[in-house]
Amino acid sequence: MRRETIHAWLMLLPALVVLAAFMHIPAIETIIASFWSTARGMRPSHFVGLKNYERMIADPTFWQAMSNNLIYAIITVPLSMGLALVMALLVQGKRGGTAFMRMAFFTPTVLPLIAVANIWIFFYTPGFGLIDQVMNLFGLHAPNFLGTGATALYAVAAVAVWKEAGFFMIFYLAALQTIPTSLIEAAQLEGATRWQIFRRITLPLIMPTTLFISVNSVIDAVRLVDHIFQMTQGGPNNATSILFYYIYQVGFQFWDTAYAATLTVVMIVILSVLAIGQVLLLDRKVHYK
Amino acid sequence: MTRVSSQTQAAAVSAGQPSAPGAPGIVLSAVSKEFPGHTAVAGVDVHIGAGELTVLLGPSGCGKSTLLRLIAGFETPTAGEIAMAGRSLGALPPAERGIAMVFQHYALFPHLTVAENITFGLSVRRTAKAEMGDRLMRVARMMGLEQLLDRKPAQLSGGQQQRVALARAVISERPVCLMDEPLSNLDAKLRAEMRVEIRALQQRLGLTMVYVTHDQVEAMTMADRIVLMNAGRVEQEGTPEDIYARPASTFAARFIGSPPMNLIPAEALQAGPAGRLAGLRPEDMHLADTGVPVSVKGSEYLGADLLVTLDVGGTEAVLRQPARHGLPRGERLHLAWAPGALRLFDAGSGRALPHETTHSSH
Repeated sequence: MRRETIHAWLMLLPALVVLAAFMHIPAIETIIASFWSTARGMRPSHFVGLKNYERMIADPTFWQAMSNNLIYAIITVPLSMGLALVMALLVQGKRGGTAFMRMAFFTPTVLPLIAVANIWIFFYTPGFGLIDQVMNLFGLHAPNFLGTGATALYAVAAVAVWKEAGFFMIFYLAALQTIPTSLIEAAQLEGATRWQIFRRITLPLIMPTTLFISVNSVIDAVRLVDHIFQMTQGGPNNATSILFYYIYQVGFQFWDTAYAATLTVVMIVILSVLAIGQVLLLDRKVHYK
Repeated sequence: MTRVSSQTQAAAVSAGQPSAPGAPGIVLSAVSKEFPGHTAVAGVDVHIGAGELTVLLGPSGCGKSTLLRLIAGFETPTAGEIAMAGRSLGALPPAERGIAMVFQHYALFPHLTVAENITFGLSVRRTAKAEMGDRLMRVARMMGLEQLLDRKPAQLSGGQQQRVALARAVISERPVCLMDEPLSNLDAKLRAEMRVEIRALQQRLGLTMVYVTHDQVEAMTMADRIVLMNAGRVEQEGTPEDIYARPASTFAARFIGSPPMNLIPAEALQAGPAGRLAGLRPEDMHLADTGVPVSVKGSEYLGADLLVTLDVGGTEAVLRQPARHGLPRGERLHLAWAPGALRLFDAGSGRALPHETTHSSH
């Protein structure tokens, strides 16, 4: 019995060490750090209670990052999911050219986000950018998408949608292929239209995938900021600063690690609540095989 | 939608059973279907009688399922024509052909309840709620599904799923019902029960039913007419009695019957010249004091019957006799057969030869 217990712990040890070192201990330290001040020069870190949280609530940049992030999520989550489903439906089956289309749709996923950002900078650049060139053909001029506060957030959101939709498409494609053809034929025989088949058979049967993708796209809406570094650095005037980017700025540009820890705790809480909420809300509607 | 008040239930009872008066016949003329690389159906002419149960029988890959899908409209024939009630079906979509279908793996919608599965067709065709409820209760009672209406397909046994699939076909009140190996997923006992049930249902509702199977027992027990198929062609068409008693080819002789018809070189039985095969059903043969000399190679006890494997001049043949007669003893046994039971086939083409040329040894 004792030998077995020791064996069990030895087997668990490698995974335990890695998980603890890189996930659990940093997570707990982050929570602790959010109740302490940042050590600076002569003043060592000391316990401040909820001071960091009070400061956060009074911080207008934090609130702007929150509202930016909300808009960013409201755009990227439904659009990337919807686009993924449309693309999956398009390239499903064996019609001519679907293999090429699949590859084309999936390419953005393979590219690093930094490279994607550079491509889109070229699209957006005023003067010689692709969008401006196309608009010039019609005698129009494109605005400076990334340089204007009103459009910058939408411009970076578009990049995220473009990058993510192809990835989610693969999941939808896999889900669609598990639906037996005979189900579709049975529905056709009953006189169901294509729309009825989609709404009443296909959509409910791919719900488990939809739930999975929705949790992932919400997490990505908070996590995916690489292109913002490359394209706008949170500007202009914090217009594209979403929560995660703001945490990076506070932590590694202003070196205010205690405040960064506080913001991180808030971000983790929001993500956890969203993920648990999605699972609870959608789980009842999902049919698992 | 799944709950219907007792009042409407009473109304449903008085309305009686659904029926399909004047179910149409189906005529297939020179129908072919080619897929890239192979021909699934090659020039098939079949007449499916109105209100009859026609079984498309054959080994896997013989084109019987393809033929069913052609009738359903899921595939379009490469050549030939399919007509129903005298009207060519052409490229009419499946939903407009007036057919219901039971799929091989039932094709029940896994996310819908039994009630929703059965009424799916009515609901997509926007049938009134009250009528839908009436018809659902009527069909559920007929199929014994009243207690299961709120369940999901995964919570049902194989036999219950089969009933739901049948109910979904019946509720449409379409006069033609296509069945693609509907019993292949059931165990032997349930299969025997469902055979009787499906046949009774078909006769009660007067449906024109086309039933695909590779199981000759299903075909023999259920069919009004059997269409025996082989390699995309019709090998023989007729009543079960016809095909059993007068197989048109060695293929038909070997496919129908369990154990199948014995095929013995005719000269070994002194029944004809070389190049002929003599066909004898196991139950038409008996051991006698005179006749063709044979030896016993083995036997199989089946309770009521005893199957005796014989060596007839170097060819194996199986004889069926009542088990109580026991295994015959002795070295010098002789084979005899009932008059008129022997069929002759051409050894090369496998086709049956006209009956006049055969002669019994008695």
